[in-house]
Amino acid sequence: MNTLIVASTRPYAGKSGICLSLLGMLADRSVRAGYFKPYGTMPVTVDGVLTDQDAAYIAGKAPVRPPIESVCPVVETPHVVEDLIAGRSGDAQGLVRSAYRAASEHADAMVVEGTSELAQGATFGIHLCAMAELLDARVLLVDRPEHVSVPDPVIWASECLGQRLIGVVFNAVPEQLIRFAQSDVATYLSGRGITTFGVLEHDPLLSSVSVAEIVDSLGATVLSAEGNLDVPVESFMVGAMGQEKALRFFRRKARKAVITGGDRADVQLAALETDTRCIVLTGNLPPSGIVLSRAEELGVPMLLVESDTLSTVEAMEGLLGRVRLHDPVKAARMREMFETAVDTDALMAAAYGL
Amino acid sequence: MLDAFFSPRSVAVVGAARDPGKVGHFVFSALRVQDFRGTVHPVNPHAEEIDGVRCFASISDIPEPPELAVIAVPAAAVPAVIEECARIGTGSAIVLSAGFKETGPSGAGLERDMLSAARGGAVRILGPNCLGVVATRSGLNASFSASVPPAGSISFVSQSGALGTAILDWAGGAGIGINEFVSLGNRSDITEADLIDRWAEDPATDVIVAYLESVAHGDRFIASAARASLRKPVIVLKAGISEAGARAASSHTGSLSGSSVAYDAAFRRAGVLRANTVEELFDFALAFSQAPIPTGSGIAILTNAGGPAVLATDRCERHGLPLASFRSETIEKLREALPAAASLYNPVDILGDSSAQRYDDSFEAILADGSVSAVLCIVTPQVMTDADAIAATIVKRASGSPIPLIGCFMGDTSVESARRMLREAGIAQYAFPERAIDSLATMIRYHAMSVRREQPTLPIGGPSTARALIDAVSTERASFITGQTAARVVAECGIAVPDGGIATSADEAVALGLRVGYPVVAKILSPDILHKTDTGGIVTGIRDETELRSAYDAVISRARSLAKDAVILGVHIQSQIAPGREVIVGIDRDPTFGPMLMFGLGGVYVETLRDVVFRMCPVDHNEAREMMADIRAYPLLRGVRGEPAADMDALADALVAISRLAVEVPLIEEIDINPLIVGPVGSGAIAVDVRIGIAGVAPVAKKGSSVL
Repeated sequence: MNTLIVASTRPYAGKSGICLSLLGMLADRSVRAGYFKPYGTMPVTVDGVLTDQDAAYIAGKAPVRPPIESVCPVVETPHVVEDLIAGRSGDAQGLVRSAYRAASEHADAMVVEGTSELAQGATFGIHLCAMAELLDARVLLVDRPEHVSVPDPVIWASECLGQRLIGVVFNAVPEQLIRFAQSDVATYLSGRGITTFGVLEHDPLLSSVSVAEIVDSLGATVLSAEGNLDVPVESFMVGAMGQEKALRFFRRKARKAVITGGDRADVQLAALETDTRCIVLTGNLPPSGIVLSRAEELGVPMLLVESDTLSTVEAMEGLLGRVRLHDPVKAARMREMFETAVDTDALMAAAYGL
Repeated sequence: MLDAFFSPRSVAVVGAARDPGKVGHFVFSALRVQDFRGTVHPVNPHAEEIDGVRCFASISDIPEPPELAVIAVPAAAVPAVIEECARIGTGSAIVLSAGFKETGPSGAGLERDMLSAARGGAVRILGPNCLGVVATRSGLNASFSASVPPAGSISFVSQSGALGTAILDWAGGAGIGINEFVSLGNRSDITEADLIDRWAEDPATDVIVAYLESVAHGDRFIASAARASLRKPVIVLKAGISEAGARAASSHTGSLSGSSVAYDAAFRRAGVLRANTVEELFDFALAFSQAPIPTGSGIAILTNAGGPAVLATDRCERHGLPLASFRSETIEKLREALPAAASLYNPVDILGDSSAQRYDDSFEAILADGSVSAVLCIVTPQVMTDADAIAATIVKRASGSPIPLIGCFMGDTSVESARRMLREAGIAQYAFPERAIDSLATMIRYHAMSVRREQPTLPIGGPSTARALIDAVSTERASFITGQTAARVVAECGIAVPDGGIATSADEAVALGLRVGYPVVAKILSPDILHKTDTGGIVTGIRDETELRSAYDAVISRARSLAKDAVILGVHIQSQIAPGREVIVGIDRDPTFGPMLMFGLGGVYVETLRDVVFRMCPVDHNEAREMMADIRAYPLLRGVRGEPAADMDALADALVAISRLAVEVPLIEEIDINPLIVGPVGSGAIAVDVRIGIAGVAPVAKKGSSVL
């Protein structure tokens, strides 16, 4: 059986999205593909089984559905960490091996979501290189460069993995680094025998959240434009300045949420003048009726929350920090970008011999 | 225009009530108490008659459709009443009822229903949520105002109804005569611009006065006010100019209060006179309504006390107004008429023991002097002062005089009857000299404005290449154009820019250095770094390849360590420009009035010194010149201590071009050219650093394929 581990050099590099895309492409080629994630960090209980939140979701989308208990055998919880440090944990490698056997039983090809950093899982003896040996797998590395820098993690992974590394995909690359990644870095890596399958540009839509998700996550009351909760929000800004500065400030970002106090009618109106997807009113201070009418007229939801501005900002930072692939629109967008930017034929051939 | 709101032949009060505690009762009674000659019909389905007048169940039951409906029923019932008005042909309605847009989305829905019931203007609507209309000529009081002011020639529109009624109440005592008063309320249909249009044409209105917290439609307001102010003064008190005041106004009106500089620029363009306080608003209105407008700027001050005259003189100077310099004949006449201790030169102090005769003799001499355009007559009460007799002299001299003669009787009980005499004779007067001078100064400014008013116009054509450049880079999201693209945009407008380009590697930087020629400047290019010098993002005076390579590294490393999250697009390499005067030219799009042109002293001190002025776009060369003269640093442009003057023609060309670009390309939200380096006369101006902010265009929906 052909097994490909999709691992990344750093967290939030976009592994899950690439796994979903690969599963979709395998399904299109009528391959019975399964999904497995040996090591998870987002504990959730599904049908009484401790597993990883994203893993459970992605496994549910795979053509071959594994039993839930074998999707993610090692989940990092405070309890697991305590046991491990105290020397009470069992044989993680054995756990992974048996779970993998169950997960891949009916599959002809496996997509394995590997660790988010090269060293992750080392304490359990299941870091990336050990895992590749254990599962006899090939590895696709996902890297997310932020500025002009040398590709240390890729070179290091290649030295550990040897022939098991089939190549690298650069994901969520800022526009200004595309050319650098595509020509300079790819050429250099090729000289060292490492294939670059593609460079995906950063897409703000992917890391966006819908207004409805903000409402749920902040426990907000929707005061206006209830019909516009499905629009994506890409960023947020905090409004605490006078109206003249606010207007110039708010113009700097599009598709944003604005966080301000309910008593700041001037800031709210300035936000409404610019590309604002929702206004979060903190401190449980309802806005003036006439401003609310204006928001309704423009179709911008005003959300009332009880928390203060600081805690609201922290909650929003958590929300906007990562890609949520549970949204089918985003998953579709990710796959579309993946198939456009990546040499999928070469990738499929190297990974699965297809 | 809107006549039925002010002098209808018949009025229906919908929601007229028998209970004296109700608004519907008050308005119905108010309409009948005054000498209004039109017919007034109460409408109320639950009453047979009100105060002995037959009551109708609905407005359509009135045998002949009334010209005006005054509506005081609950908000939810208003759309149906308007619908009925539209059906029977009642074309004007004052909606006093509250409970609309000001209360939230459901009220806003009612307001929309009400407007659609009006069938696209078949019924014109004042309000809702307004305090009504008072028209003194027809005796109409369709408002909540308990008192009706004396008739006069001031027409007054107020966005705050309660402030309006308070002023109507005060006006009687202050000798202010009102022609028409309108409370705007929510401005769902009729706005201040409609009233300015009406009063511009109305021969009974001499002065248009407005209290506004915001302007409904910037373009319309400017067009209406510009037309009106050519015929009569338009004085506006704009409230909500402080940060906290703007917030209060915003939550009250639901529109951005707007920046004070944008209002100043818009008022200047429209010829609107701005008052800063309610007191000023009516001080100015009083002067315009009662005194002829001075045709020059020379003020003469006649006084029986030194101190108040000094205060008045100080105030003149503050307005930049010279006191009139009397001709020798005038001084001769004064010398003959006055005691030796009198001061014959302006201000003319005719001493504490002045009689009415001494005032009269002085008036005769001063009013005959051609250099005098206005006279302020100050009277302080002293034991020997016969204030009434002096007042009689002023009334005699002022009547029929083409030169305004303004009174200032200081004090209280001893000048009370003298003040009454002036009030009854319609002579403008003030309790203190500063207020009198402020009012005269405003009249003089109005006159000066009316002689040199012309609207700048756009030339045919325009910067179409610049527009194409912006269209090419504009995407669905708002963004900033910097570096070489921004430089090309302004170059297309005819403004010189340094040769250069963007480098994303040290090799590219060196190639650019070779092309443009040393010395060069290296500047960090990042949409997130606005103040490049703060992050060590600029290196100047680079003389060769070695220096350029190390400068390239230096600006990138500094930007990375000081602005960690900043997106770095590259390094802008430009040929170095010879030093000159550094100025800033900018655009900021105001949500009400559109693009504003900013000009001031440039460089790194802009934020600190704030020596900047604003005008509405577009500007012509005259206005551009005016802007230069308006900044405090103007002497620096003209050259100090033997320096050559700056190339102000090139600077004016740049200001005009940028202002036109902003009008031509509505996508432009902001422009900052800082610095624009202006060389000595004949050597031009070069835009060294340009940043253009453009609005996002409507997003195009992305089509996603299915994932699995």
